[in-house]
Amino acid sequence: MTDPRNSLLTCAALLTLAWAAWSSANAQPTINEAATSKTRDVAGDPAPANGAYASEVPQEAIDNQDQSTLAVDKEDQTIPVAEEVDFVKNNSFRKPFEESLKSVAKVDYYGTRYVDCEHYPLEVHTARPNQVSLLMKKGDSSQFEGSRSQQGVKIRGTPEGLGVEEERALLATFDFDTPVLELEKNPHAFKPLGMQKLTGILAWKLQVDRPGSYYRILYVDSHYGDIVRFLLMNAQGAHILDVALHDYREVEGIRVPFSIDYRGADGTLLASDRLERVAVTRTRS
Amino acid sequence: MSKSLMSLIAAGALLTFVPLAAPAADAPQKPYVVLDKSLSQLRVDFNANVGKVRMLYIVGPTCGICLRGMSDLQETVYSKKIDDPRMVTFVVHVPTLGAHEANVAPASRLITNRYTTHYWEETGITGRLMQQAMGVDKYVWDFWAIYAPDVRWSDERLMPAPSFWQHQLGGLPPERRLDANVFASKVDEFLAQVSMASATGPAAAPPKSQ
Repeated sequence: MTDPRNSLLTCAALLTLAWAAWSSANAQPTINEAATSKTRDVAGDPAPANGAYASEVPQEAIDNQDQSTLAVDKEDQTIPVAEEVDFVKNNSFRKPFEESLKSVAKVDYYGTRYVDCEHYPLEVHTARPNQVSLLMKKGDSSQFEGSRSQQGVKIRGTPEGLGVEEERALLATFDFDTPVLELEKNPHAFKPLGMQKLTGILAWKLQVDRPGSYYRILYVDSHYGDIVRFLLMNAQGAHILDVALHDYREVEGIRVPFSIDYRGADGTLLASDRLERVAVTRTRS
Repeated sequence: MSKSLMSLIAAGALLTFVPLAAPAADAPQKPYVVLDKSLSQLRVDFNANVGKVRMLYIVGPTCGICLRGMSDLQETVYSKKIDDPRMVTFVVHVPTLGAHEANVAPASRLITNRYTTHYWEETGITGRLMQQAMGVDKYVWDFWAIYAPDVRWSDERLMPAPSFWQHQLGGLPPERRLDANVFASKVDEFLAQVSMASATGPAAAPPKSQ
């Protein structure tokens, strides 16, 4: 006759083994099994490395061991990077365009603003240093005008698609030059924030600080140096506008986005600008 | 029931139920493997996948240009061949530009698929061994290699030379600079040597199951 103690112990042991087998079968390895055979530890475990940190890396590739040039913000999607500003400035693709832009005095843009099912003829005239005026015709007798000059930002009429504050913020933060040129002139106005993956593009993130009520966070294409997106923020850090710039084309030696989409803080598409013609005027040399 | 029997039952019950609670208390697993200086784990993984096309990338996890390379290959190679069992990728993160282990997890998000494993190797010897394998006089990183299916890593002190490689370094041939489209074409050429059946057969290394 079977000893009841043995049955109980056997039962407990079987339960234990059964759980262990189940647990093993349901484990969720984060690496392929070929890689798990030896070294798979969990966060917080001491690393099994048996050499000194970076002992095999030559000094010129170590640089920045204290991570003092590491750029990162607090967003989950941001990837910290070292020496971001240097990489942005040294973009070799960009250099010919930047040199070309230095001799440009004015750029005039002609296109259409689309808002829902409506569309409006649009003209934007820009000139050094950071002057911009925008004219949107709304009908035979009505139009919206916005401008920024040394006298400040002026608004007349009611814009379509965007609100007055959004138009004001766009005008106030307009930069004639690209981040590459601005970084040469005024590097302290830029705060590197790391990198972020956008759809199909890995972008540098740069915060552009300026006196006044607004600032911008730029997303710069890591291949072409184009601003592919920017966030307009007010001085309190509230998100005002999310602007996506695409369809970049070369026009007389500079890079121009022919499509611009404006979204609100909640992601709603507010308006889209589509350019049809761009005129570049150079300084006389 | 005797006291000793009760104790045994209690012990058995504890043994049974303690593990049930244990996984919840575990810290989350790292999305990468920590290599020791011998790179023995990398070698094991490499040889476990003989018969497949293997990619080996040596990157700095805080190097923007390396990150861009990873992002480009995600777009041109991995997003177009979602979980192709014929190709296995090893991304070795080394401590260039002051990178530390904490930087590996964010960078590893740029290439994610079932057959890619990220590693952190904190001495940087991976670059030295690849330098030796390539016979160049420059520390090798920001380096992107493909190995043909038949290549085996036999000598533990010598990394095999890649079947195809590109880089993003000064001092190496400019015509070999990473071009994600060219790299993707090369991957296709090597993949043509491997049948899907052989890659998914019983000898194939099981994929990770995250």
